[in-house]
Amino acid sequence: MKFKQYLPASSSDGKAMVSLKDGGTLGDLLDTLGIPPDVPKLVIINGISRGVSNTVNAETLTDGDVVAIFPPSGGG
Amino acid sequence: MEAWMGKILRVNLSYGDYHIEEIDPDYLRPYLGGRGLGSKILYDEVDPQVDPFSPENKLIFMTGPLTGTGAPCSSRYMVITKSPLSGTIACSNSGGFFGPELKFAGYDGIIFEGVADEPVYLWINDDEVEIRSAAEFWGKTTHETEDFIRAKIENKYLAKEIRVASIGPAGEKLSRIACVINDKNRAAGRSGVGAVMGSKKLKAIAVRGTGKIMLPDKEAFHKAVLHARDVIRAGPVTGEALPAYGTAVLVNIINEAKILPTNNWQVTYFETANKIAGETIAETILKRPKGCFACPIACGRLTEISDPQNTGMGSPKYFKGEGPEYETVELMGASCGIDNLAAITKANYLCNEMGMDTISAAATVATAMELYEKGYLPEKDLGLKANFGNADALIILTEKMGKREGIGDIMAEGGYRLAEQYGHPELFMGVKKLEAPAYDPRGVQSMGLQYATSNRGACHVRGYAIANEILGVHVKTDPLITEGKAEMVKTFQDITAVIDSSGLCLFVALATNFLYEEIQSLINAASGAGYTVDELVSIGERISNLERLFNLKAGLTKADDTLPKRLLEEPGGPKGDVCRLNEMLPEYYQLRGWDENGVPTTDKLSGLGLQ
Repeated sequence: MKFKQYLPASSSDGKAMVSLKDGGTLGDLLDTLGIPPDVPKLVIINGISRGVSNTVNAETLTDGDVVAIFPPSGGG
Repeated sequence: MEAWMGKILRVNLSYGDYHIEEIDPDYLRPYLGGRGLGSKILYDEVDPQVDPFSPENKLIFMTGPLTGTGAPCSSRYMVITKSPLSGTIACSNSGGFFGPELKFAGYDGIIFEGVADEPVYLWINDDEVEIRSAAEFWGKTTHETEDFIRAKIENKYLAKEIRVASIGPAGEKLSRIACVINDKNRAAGRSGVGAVMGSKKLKAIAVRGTGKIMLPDKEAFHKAVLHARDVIRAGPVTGEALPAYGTAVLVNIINEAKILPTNNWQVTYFETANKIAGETIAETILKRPKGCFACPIACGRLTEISDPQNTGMGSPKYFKGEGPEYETVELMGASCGIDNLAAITKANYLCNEMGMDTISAAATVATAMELYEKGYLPEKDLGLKANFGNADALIILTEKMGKREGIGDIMAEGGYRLAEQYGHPELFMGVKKLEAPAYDPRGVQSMGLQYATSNRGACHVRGYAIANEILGVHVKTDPLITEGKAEMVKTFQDITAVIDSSGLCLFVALATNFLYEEIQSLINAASGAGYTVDELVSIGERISNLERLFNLKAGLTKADDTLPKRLLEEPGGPKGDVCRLNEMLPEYYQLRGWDENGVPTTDKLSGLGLQ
């Protein structure tokens, strides 16, 4: 529940459009949303699960990328 | 023999008698207990070519050395037999409180032989063991059966304290997807073990135990338990995610990873997945989390639905139950194109009450839906329009399957036999006739190898590579590549065999770094047996090979180590790939020490003491 506090007011069903400056990174996206960098435990970019690391945070995003950010999750 | 009770109850249902056997420690040690010991007994005592429903097949209930000790997640027991669904060795695993109670009664396990003349149940109250008539409640649901057995007991304290494992109508009617249900809502789910129980006319086992499990050094054990508990609590998955949202927290993740089987795996993304996700369950139907014996995680979900349309059997207005879990909500949901959580929950309750595996039942409905939409399975046979997204069809077909009514008669045989009957076996999504769980290997390559090589067919709990491929629990790997996956799958499969044999729940391995050393420390503290890590690693490998030998002798071949055509040929997943099984399978055989036909070499077998 707590994780939802980071969703922008404009979001619907857990999804939101976010604008970043050109060359914006995943780290910038987290900043924009006010998510501390150590909070996400799993990041999925365009369907590819990426884990979390500084390297991933430094990756440049491009227009239209779909980024899913999760707190600790898992177990089937 | 501390931690183990050292005794097995052998019950011959044909003769209506039983005796107690001591376990030879030398026989036990290389197999640890649980899955390993049960599989060894089955391998030694049953011809792998046996008809699973014949009196010659045996049904083995087995606990592990840690079951009931109070170690974290030490609730498990296993049901081992030859599967009537896949024809492979079956080992189905369940939590709750039944397994620990069996040990408190003084037994590591029970071996059932033969077939009873009339329906019976086994009564165990410590040393008192009796085969009793179940004629009065044959035909009843698992919930009614448990209530009935309790109600018959005069001593009200005892009536409250017993633990019951039973089959429902599905098992009685030999549905090949029937499970064994204990504590009303925990299931030894897969491979049709409930049908073997039904074939033996064994309706239930009721057990009460007041004994203690002996420990060599209580203080050392207590220390090991506290440490293991801390590791589990510190793990992000086991300490935070599973307690808060249960297993269904995976729905949104697997969907975003574009590996969520949808409309019988025709697509891998479900637009309205959030409506059936763990987060939505927590906000709507969840009453409270529910844990098994000694579990610090408590991933179980005690739920309640009040809509009269969607209650279970037995009560018209109101119903409580457990679930749905991830696999259930995904396969009854997205894979059937359904986002109605209440309807899915009702179908889940029906499965628990009728004693059917939710994975196989859901996958069989999804297969029926695709057969219907493609015009291969006519409405007149189905009795309704079974299009994807039709929540009423899910409920009605589930009930028909449990009762073997109408189309339910063939559906009760499982998805493969349904698809074959209607001329399209390629629409069955499973391996070795076992319906696949809810991860599409086109976007997580290792799971394709896991499904193809698991000794019981398409299964996630024989090697949960998702933990690394998607969740990054121990290390984060790239799910889209095949390099290194043969080794990963082998490693996961072997450690899983050890966990299943120990009596711990597989979810301990979702705690970061809960690996061999943690398991070793608990087993040795509980037993004083002094297992080394190398010995445990060998045990895992030995069990994997023993099960493989059983399957080969049963007539399975390399040709069975494959995947549905859809996963090998139709693009899916985030990059529109197929599962590249051929890039992994030869390497897997090689790493296993098997020849190019997947047969263990003499060297490998003698190294494991299997020659």
